[in-house]
Amino acid sequence: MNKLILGRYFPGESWIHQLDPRGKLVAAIYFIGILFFAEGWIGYLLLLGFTLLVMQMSGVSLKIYLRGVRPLIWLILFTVTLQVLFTAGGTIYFDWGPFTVSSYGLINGVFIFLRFVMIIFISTVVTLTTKPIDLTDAIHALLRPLRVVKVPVEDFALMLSIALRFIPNLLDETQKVMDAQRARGTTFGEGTLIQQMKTLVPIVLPLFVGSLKRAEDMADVMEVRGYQSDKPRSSFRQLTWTRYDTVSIIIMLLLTAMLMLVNRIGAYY
Amino acid sequence: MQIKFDHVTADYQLGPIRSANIIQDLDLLLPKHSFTAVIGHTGAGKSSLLKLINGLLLPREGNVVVGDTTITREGNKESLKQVRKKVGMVFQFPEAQLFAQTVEEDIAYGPMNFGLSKEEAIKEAQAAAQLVGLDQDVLKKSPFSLSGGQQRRVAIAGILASNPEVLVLDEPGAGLDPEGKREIMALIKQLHEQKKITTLLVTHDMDDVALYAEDVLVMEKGSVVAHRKVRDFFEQLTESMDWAIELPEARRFQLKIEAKTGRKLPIVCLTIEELTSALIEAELV
Ligand SMILES: Nc1ncnc2c1ncn2[C@@H]1O[C@H](COP(=O)(O)OP(=O)(O)OP(=O)(O)O)[C@@H](O)[C@H]1O
Ligand SMILES: [Mg+2]
Repeated sequence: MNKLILGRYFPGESWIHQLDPRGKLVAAIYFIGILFFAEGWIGYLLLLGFTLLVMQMSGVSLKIYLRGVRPLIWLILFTVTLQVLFTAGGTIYFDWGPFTVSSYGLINGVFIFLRFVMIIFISTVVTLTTKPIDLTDAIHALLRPLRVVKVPVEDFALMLSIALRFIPNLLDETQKVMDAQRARGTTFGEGTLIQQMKTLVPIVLPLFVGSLKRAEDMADVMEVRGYQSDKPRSSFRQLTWTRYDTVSIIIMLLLTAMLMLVNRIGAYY
Repeated sequence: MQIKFDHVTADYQLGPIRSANIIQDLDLLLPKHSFTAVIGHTGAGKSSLLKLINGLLLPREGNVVVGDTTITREGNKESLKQVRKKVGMVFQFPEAQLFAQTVEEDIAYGPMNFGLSKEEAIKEAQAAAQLVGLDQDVLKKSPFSLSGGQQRRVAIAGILASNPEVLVLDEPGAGLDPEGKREIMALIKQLHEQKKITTLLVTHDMDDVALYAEDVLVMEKGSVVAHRKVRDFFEQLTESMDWAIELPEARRFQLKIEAKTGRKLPIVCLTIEELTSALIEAELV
């Protein structure tokens, strides 16, 4: 099963692939931040254009990105529907009790949808073009200042990389166990709440057992290979900040400036 | 129980976004009481074929008929439950489905879901445990305290306890020691013969095909590319068919002997026993 795209790496040679993971991570978080400052059509179009450009540059096909949206599509549609139904204002097209479909609602719905999709796309760009191990190194590097206040940054980075590594496995396994229990006659989402909770036991328990077993195996392997958490560590892979990384940060700042500008122009309409 | 696929196309659609077809316009008829081995490359759609038979995957086009129940794209709840009761499905590494506090409860889970009372289900569980060769004293233990091979038996018992008329198995021997695997396969063969269970077995081991199956089904890219009697299949198998299929051990050995001695044995031997008697008959040993 390879539905889950988030957390998978696609090797490549693109410009985006070669950026320093620290810069890439900061830029992505920053971009998600400024998404919330977009107002009006032009702002959203600008950011969407930027997102599509970055995706194009990553050299990974659009199909792969769409697959990243797939697992979340219901959640997105649900949120959008709520937004559409509960926002009033502008021309009202349809009215039923507390629900209204209005022009403001529709516009807001589209904006929310775009924001969701862009967040997913941009995070997918980062995870698709960065090896998970580089990503962990980047998080490690960015958190390093916290060592001063005695945060165990190394352990934290390790835990994070292990967790990232196992998310796809866990999802695969959930699907498998659910299928196996359905084959034994379990029907999900039927009966009273208590009955429904009961059907969760045969799913959750095997998953717990499996995860614990895997954690134990992993701990054994790490011990055998001499891992000790309290020893100072050096890095085998060195992260190098290049001119391109500086350029990419500057591009992010320029993008912010442009967004502020179009927001301002939009306000004059 | 007969199983029929009628122009079945299926995919793993999620929400409004479609994925590529995993099963492509598939027609198939598995007669009553047949024992069919399914082989093919990894990703050919073997597991998906099994899931279609008990409605874990629904056809997007066409329909699957199991006995007198039809599974269509809508997946009517009642008929799905009926089908799942009739079709026992042993997944790959089925021990991952164990969850209950005792082995007995775990085995009884299926029958209870299919409407038996607790007492009846426990009775079925005990019978199934005996069938797969589990000791009585194991029944009250936690399934997680057992060895891998025993867990596999518990899981299989959990499926047999519902008295299925069709049994579909996805590599039931994977990850077991040779002895354990032989025992599981012998059990499946025995069930097929005594209870007339229609059996469908996915395997990567051609010796399994030669030893246990009657028919063989080759899948490639979501389609059936061959469906024949096992003997015919191995007799006609030539290098030109690019299915990357290995011959059974005995047959490979036979070809080697024939190349060495320059004599051709009169029959195609699929098992060691056949080869031995053919060699004795030809006075090569
Ligand atoms: N739950 C799923 N969601 C999406 N795609 C899936 C899912 N399960 C399988 N697939 C895809 O369906 C195709 C066929 O898979 P299937 O598991 O049926 O192959 P298989 O013949 O059983 O292979 P193997 O010999 O490795 O078990 C594969 O390309 C796989 O990626
Ligand atoms: Mg499979």
